[in-house]
Amino acid sequence: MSLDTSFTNQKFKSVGTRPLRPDGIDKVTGRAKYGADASAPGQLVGGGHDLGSHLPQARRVPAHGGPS
Amino acid sequence: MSVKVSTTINGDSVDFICEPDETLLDALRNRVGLTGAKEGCGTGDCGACSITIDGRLVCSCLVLGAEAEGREIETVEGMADGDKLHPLQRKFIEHAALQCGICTPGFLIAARALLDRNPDPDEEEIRFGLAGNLCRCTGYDKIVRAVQDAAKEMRGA
Repeated sequence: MSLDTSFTNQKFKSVGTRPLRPDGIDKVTGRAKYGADASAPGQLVGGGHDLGSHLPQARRVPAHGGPS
Repeated sequence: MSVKVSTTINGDSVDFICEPDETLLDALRNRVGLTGAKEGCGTGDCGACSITIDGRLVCSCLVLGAEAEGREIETVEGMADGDKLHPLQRKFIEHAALQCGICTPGFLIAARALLDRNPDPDEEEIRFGLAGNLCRCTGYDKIVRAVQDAAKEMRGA
C-alpha cells in the first residue's frame, strides 16, 4: 500500500484532502520566479569572493559608523 | 570572442549571442530570458535543466549554447498551448506531484519525451524514464501516478 492512501474511514474537512496548489500553474509552466531567476540591471553576480572574517572565533566589538 | 547562434525555441526562431564556453542552460536563462529550466547541479545529475533538442531529451547544463545552432529546442515554457495546459502539467497539479517546483520543469520535459517514445509505459518504464530527474520534496510516487494518469488521458484523446 502506498503511503498516501487512507488509513481510516473517518472523513475530515481538510486533513487528507488534496487541494490544488495556488502556485501550481506558475510552477508547471515555468513562469514562477525563483531567486535565481531574478535579475536586475547592473546586478552584481558573486562568485568565489565571499567576504568573511579572517578570524575563526572572535568577539564582535561595536562597529564605528564614521567614514572609512 | 562571442558566438552568434540561430536556433528555434518552442517553435519560434531565436538568435542569441553567447560565449563559446557558455552552457545552453545559461544561454537560455540569461540571454534568452527563459528561466523555466533550472540549474540544480550543473553536472547532469539532477535533470532540473532538462530540455529537448530535435526531440531528444538532454541536460541543457551539459550542452554548449553554440551547439544549439540550427537545432529545434523545446523547453517547459512551450508545453502549454496558450491558456491550455498540457495534460502532464494538469495532472501534475491534480496529483500534487510538485511542492517547491524546482524539479518540475525537468520532470515535465522528461515525462513528455518518455510518452512521445512510449505512449503506454508501465510503472517500471516510467521510473526508468524519469531516473535522470531528482525530486527532493514530493517523492516519486505522486509523480509516477501523474504521468500514468496523463498517459491514459493522452491515449484516450
